Amino acid sequence: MAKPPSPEPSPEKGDGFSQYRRKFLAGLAEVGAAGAVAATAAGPARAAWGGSTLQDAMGSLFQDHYQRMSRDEIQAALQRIERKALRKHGVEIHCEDTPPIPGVVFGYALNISKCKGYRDCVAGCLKENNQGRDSQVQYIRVLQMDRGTMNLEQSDHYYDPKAVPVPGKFYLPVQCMQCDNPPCVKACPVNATWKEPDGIVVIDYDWCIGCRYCMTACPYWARHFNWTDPKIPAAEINPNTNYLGNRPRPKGVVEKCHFCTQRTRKGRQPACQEACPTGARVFGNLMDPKSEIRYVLEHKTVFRLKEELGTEPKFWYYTDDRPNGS
Amino acid sequence: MSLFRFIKDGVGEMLRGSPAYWRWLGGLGLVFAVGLFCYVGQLSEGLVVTGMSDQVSWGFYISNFAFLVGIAAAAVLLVIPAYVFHRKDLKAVVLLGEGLAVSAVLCAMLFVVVDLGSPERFWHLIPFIGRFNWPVSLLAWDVLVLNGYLALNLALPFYVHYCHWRGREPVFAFYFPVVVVAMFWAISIHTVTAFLFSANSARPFWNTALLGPRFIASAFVSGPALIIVLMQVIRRVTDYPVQQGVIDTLALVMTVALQISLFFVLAELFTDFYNESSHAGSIRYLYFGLGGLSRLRPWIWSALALNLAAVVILSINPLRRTPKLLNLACVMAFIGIWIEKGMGLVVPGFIPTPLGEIFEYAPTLREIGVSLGIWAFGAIAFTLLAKASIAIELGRLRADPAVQAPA
Amino acid sequence: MALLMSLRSAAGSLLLSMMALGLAAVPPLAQAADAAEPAASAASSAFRHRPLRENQPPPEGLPQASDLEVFKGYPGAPPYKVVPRKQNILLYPCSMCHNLNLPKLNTTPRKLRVAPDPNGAPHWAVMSHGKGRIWCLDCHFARDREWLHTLDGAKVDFNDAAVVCGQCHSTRYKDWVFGAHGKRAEGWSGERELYSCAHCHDPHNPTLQPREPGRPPPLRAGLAPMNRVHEETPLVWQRTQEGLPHGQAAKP
Repeated sequence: MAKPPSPEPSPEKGDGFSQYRRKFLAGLAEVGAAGAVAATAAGPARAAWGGSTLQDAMGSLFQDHYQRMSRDEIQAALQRIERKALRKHGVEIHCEDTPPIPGVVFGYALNISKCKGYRDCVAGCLKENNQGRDSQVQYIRVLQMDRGTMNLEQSDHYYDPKAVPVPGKFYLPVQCMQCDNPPCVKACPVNATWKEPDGIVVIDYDWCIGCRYCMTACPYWARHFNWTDPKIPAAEINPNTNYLGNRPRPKGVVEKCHFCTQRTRKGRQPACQEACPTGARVFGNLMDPKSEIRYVLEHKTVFRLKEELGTEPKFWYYTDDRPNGS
Repeated sequence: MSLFRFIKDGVGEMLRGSPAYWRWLGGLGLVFAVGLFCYVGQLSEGLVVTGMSDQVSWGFYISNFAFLVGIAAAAVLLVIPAYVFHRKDLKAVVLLGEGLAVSAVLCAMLFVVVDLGSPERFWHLIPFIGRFNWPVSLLAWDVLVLNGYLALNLALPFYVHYCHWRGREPVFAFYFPVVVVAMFWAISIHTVTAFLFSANSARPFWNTALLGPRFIASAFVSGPALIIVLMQVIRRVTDYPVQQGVIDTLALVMTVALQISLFFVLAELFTDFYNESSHAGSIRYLYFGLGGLSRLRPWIWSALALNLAAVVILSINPLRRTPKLLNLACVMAFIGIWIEKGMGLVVPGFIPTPLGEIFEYAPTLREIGVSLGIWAFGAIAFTLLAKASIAIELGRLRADPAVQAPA
Repeated sequence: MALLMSLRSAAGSLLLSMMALGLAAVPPLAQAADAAEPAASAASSAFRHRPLRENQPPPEGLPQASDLEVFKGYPGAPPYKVVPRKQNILLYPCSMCHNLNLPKLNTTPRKLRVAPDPNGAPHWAVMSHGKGRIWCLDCHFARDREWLHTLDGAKVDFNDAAVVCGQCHSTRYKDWVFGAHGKRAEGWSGERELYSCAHCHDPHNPTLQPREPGRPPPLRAGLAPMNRVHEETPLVWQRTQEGLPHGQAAKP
């Protein structure tokens, strides 16, 4: 299998140049802000520029890549996000930069004997991750499959019966698989998406240029685009956000499931796991030999979707078969 | 200083012309203005004004992009017979070909820009200032080779024209290496664009080794088709001498390329339909429809019919040598390849989606408006470049006015 | 030609004689079932069914009759706590009623009377667990209703109901202990809290009823719905029903 692409540059490399770039971009931001302020007559402070002030918009435009920003710059970016949410939605949110937990690589398993197609996971994810309600952005898609086949082309995405589960069908929820060999990371021309040390493939929403090449590269249809400004009812906004996770996104960028980094990096379960009433979802640390996810992988018959593509997804499916030796 | 005067002379020539010239530019300018208006609307509302969706996330814009990169690559096609086979008649039109390459590349890059969700962040692509994922990302490769191609095709004619304007011959040792580089670079831009698509193992319709050869073959059809028509227009509208040998050679290249291109289509159809696996979902949707949806079916069959009719005309020597029929074949092949390589390639790659969903796409009026505006921009660019180039080549623009030929 | 024919007949007779030998050597199945000694020769056992019991370890490895194998939980199980269940039980503590002058204890499995019958029980009394093969006192401790009991008579708290359920549903129980079944409350790290069996499965009526699903995914804003025809592609066995040629769908 091809090796994953080269990792992000270390902070020590090109330190002198990165200082220069930092000053250059900060200077551009100031010039831009000053110019924009000078150009506009003193009018009422509307929520133009997608909800930011002009100064914030300029600051955001010339913001550096997440992996190259200093701690202060990240803090400034977080504050810009919080201010923008306040101006745009009237809601005070809290945006953090949660680092990955060392020694943790996340894995997820889903028991398809238990999934009944309720779509509670879809709804829970929507609320937790501040997704646009009308723009079709749903990180999880549940497929209704016929018994007797695993052919995804014979699945029904838009099933709407009076009651689920429908006899003769089974259900397969699909979301970002957080591949260990992700084709989307290779595709991105600006490195706006990358694999974090805890295995989650994240997106810097302030760096993505919206070319959607990653969407063509993903074999699981896991990445979604904000075709328009995501509309979130103010009352339903989740104020606990983090930069690489569920902070409110602008239009024109790609987003996807990130295993709820704002929760999982603090030891909580992802929203889909919490929402599922049948307990079909098992989440945990693949590096912990005593974790539930490891038990499932070692004792149940598991499979992954499209394994032949070599993407090494970290999302498994399993059934209730009896483990050998028990 | 003389450089400044050269540019002033060139621009002055572009801004001088008959009423017909200005009507032509005016009409194009109007279309461009409409496109600009549509694009401003897209900037404010987002790409929701297009017909694209998460399921079909690339559409009309990228279709035109792929097609135009082919035109740009083929425009430098003239260089090969001119310099490698020492054809003087083709040498005379090489500069015009390079002007077409510049216009086509600019159009292609504009199509990518209008397709971006956050175009103000384009600076993220600049190496070191932004973060350029080269050499891993194929899109980064494409940005690199297209910009390099643009630079090559601006620099080379600029140098040659400047020398001619100064009344001397360009130094062979300077420009010939650049010409050689340009020849290979032309093939590379289209190969990289093909690899952009074929790299995706998630999209079985594109993930074939044949995609690169198909792109080159169809580029060598659509490019010469356009150049043949353009050369005849130039021959009629200006007094620039375009030898018949140019038309004949290009028509021959186009014939062979179209035969090869249709053979590739046959190969694809056989391989996909003989033992039909689910990898053939896209081609089944394209040619026959799937799940009750078949919006692209009439288009691809029309494209096939047009290409077959064109190849028949071109393959029969007496027919190919009849100007009216040749022009008809050019127009048919141009449109046929535009359909087959544009909407007939980009859109079916997304249908069915990786999760098996059949979801259709149709461009909206605003999308078409923006696209027409970009094509108009390309036409304007070529007109202006050709105007100046022809004037210099005919000796009407010289550094020393005493040597200038009469207008 | 003649050589071939003779070879063929020779091979045929050889095969026939082998089969005869094999058939003669196969002992009757009834004898094989209770035979303690190993099976007959390899050639003859090729066609004989071998019960899995014959995979047992040698006698010295088995526990002695005097040892009682006591279930002490699963080795290597990660520690856990159970989310308490008692506070969710409506009529609890049971001794509120089951210390008063209630009818005398009748341990015959039967159908009980229930409310609104004035002499009926105010709580669950109709069992559909196991379709009538299980009744109340199989789990509830008859003499002290605030407890459950295992089959060997040990008292079990309501919060530890999993121990009782795990007697029959042992695979599920093991899966639940290790995390492949059921749901972990709170986080994926830190103290492990599991929802009790009764949190999801009502022991008196365990069948999970179908319910309405969430809404189907919306189309992208501004796109018209498609006239998609969801082709019910018949699966292989549906196509080959009634001896139809392959590829042709069965008539509805």
